[in-house]
Amino acid sequence: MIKTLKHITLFFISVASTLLVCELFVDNAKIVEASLGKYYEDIGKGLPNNQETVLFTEGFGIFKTNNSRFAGREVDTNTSKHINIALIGDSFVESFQVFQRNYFGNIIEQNLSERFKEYTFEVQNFGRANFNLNHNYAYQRVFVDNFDPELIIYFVSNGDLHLEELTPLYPYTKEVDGKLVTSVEFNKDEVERYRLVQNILSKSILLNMLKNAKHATKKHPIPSILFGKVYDWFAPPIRIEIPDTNYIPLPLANKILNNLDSNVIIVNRDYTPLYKPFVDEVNRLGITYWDTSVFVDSLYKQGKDPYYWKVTKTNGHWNQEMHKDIGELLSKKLIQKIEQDSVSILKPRF
Amino acid sequence: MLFNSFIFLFFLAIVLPIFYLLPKKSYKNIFLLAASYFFYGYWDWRFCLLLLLSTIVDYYIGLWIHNTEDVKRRKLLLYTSLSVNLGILGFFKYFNFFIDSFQTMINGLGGNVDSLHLNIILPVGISFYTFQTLSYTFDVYRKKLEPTNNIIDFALFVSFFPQLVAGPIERAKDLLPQLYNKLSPTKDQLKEGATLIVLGLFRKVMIGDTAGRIVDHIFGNLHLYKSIEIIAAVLLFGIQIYADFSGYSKIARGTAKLLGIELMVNFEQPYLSRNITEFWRRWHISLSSWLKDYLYITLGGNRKGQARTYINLMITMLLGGLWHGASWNFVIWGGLHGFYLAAHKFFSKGKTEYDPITRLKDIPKVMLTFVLVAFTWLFFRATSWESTQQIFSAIFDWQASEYAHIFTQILLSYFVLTFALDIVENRFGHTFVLRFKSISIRLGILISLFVVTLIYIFQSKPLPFIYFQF
Repeated sequence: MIKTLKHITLFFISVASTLLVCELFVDNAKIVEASLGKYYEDIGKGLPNNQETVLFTEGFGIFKTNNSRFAGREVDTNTSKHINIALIGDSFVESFQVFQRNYFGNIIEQNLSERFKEYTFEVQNFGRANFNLNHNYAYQRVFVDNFDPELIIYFVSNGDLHLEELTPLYPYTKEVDGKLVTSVEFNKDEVERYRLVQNILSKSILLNMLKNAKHATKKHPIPSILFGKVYDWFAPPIRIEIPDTNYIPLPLANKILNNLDSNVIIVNRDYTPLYKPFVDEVNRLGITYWDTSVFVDSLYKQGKDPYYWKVTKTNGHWNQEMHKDIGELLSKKLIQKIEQDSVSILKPRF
Repeated sequence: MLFNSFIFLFFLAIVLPIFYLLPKKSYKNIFLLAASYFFYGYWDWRFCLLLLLSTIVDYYIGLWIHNTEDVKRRKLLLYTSLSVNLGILGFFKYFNFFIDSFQTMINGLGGNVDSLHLNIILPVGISFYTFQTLSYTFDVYRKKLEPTNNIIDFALFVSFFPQLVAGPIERAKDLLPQLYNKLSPTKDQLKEGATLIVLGLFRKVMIGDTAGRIVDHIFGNLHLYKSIEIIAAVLLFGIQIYADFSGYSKIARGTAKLLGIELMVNFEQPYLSRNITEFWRRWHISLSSWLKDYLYITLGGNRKGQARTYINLMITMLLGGLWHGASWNFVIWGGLHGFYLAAHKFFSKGKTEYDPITRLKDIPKVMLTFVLVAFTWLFFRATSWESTQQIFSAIFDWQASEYAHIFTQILLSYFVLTFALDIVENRFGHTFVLRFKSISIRLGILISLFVVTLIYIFQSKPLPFIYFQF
């Protein structure tokens, strides 16, 4: 009996010691990063503040969040001739696949600073993975507006216009008595569950690795991960779903458009034109609208695939070349816009 | 089939029980041969045809050489084997390299030659099995080895799956005799085999693959990275290639042990070497000993005077570099190592005593050797002259990085773990975990490492072994 107990104890001590060494190595070598989510009363699920992160996705990204809980440097509130430009959108705007210095917002910032030398510019990254138009708008109202941006750019794709489903614990917009209301009220059990999971994950990097493994099953079926090519031999062919080009977004989308401020620009970040009813409404309301799908098309014609990552041989978010290209394109457009509306955009802050 | 994939573990889980249950030596060997061809054909079944061709040619040539005493005929047969094997290797691996170099040279001299570049797929591991079969023919020719008259045994010697695609490059005199007997692993072999597989997988996946992600991203987009980041990538590549290849060799040896076969040790903690000569005694031992026995000594070795010794050394290392791949960068890599070896030979005046245990007082020498070797990795990984130039200009035209602290931390983590594992291995052997008397401790360590590795494999795409491309 004592012998068995001794064996069990030794086994667990050796397991714990080995896992501790692995934990230290995985953490310090930045092999896996701690979960990037944190729950806040004012914005729901957000990014942790002041955290430097190394992330391996289809790309290799390093970025740091500031005290205000978004990726980038601290917000400047002391300079009179300072222009804030807020970028709102999903993971394409978030740009966790590249180094912060190579992300398109940074390129825009450099170009604007060079063009308007007497001003300082800050292009603020409010991109959040899985945000759709509903979340974007709510996020602007509950969070982004606090930073008094002179310009707000919404990056939208057709996928973002499907407002039927919302991501849990993200700020959202709803219509109450014909008015738009933004909310961060969530199911309490869901919040507690999320907090508990985050709390557990913060204790060990190996648990985060386990979580990532679980996430991997969302992208690839388990038999495909386990059996590789053998699975492909027997798996049914993948059906490609063709998007319905005649899709009409929910009325909420138009309601959001009607409530946007005059300093908002909408950018189609997709490789296809946005749904026609949506674009028609944007045009009807006179909102500045830039469609980059034509630009993406021209890149394809030049033999460039902006979504292809040659190192990892995968398709995904904008690759580094695209960040540069889109950064340059939007810089030109923004310079034009600022020159046109210089009175309202370049007015001193105080 | 990659060792660092679940499918390989399933493959083993099917192959091993059937292999153990088979009653006769011949059945076991036929089954292993079939399994080896399946393992190889899993990449591309067409590769098996080349393997088969190489097997048939060397099997019969080996017998014919043995059966004749006619010197001319023996030579002719040897050259036939060399031509077929090196011809296949040359075509698949070097055709485009030489044709492109020729085109560049002619066009550079004012000529006008159109591109003759062909889209050739390089069969996985072709350099490894070609060298293995060549060693058989050489040994039979030199009357150091009796050829086998069992084609199954010979075919298994050529295609034995644990070492088929990335070595160790086994000598027929070591591997073939093991195949003549009924294969049955001992209890110790089973323990050591399982331990080596777990330790090898951990090295390959958790150290090699993870370091490789950073290396691949930086070398794939050199223009985006700052000086310190590029230097970190070069140093990390040194860690990656070592963890990758030594991890592979461990899995290969471990798998072979589970089948009752002993393969040679391919790595003996090379980064603990105190000089470059020692490094080559500890790094990719099966290749360096092959080059020494069949190339350096054939060229005359050190028997034809001092000057000739250095020339032979240089030729051996240049060709050794070219063996790795069809690129001038590999030639430079080999040339640098040849130069290092010659310089060391010159300054040490031929004194090359070798103490397998590296001690604390050796740290400065170990560091110097590592720096010299790390410098050569730059050429090895860059693969093209343009990339090499980009790296040098990034180093000399210094650009500070805002992420220097992160890269330093990452580098330190990899170095500490790699060297710690090597120091333990150097003192307590490759299966150091088995030195613990308590089976509970052994199991605790191995199960933990295995589980952590499997979780990582599950959540990421497995990276192929670097040496597969050679």
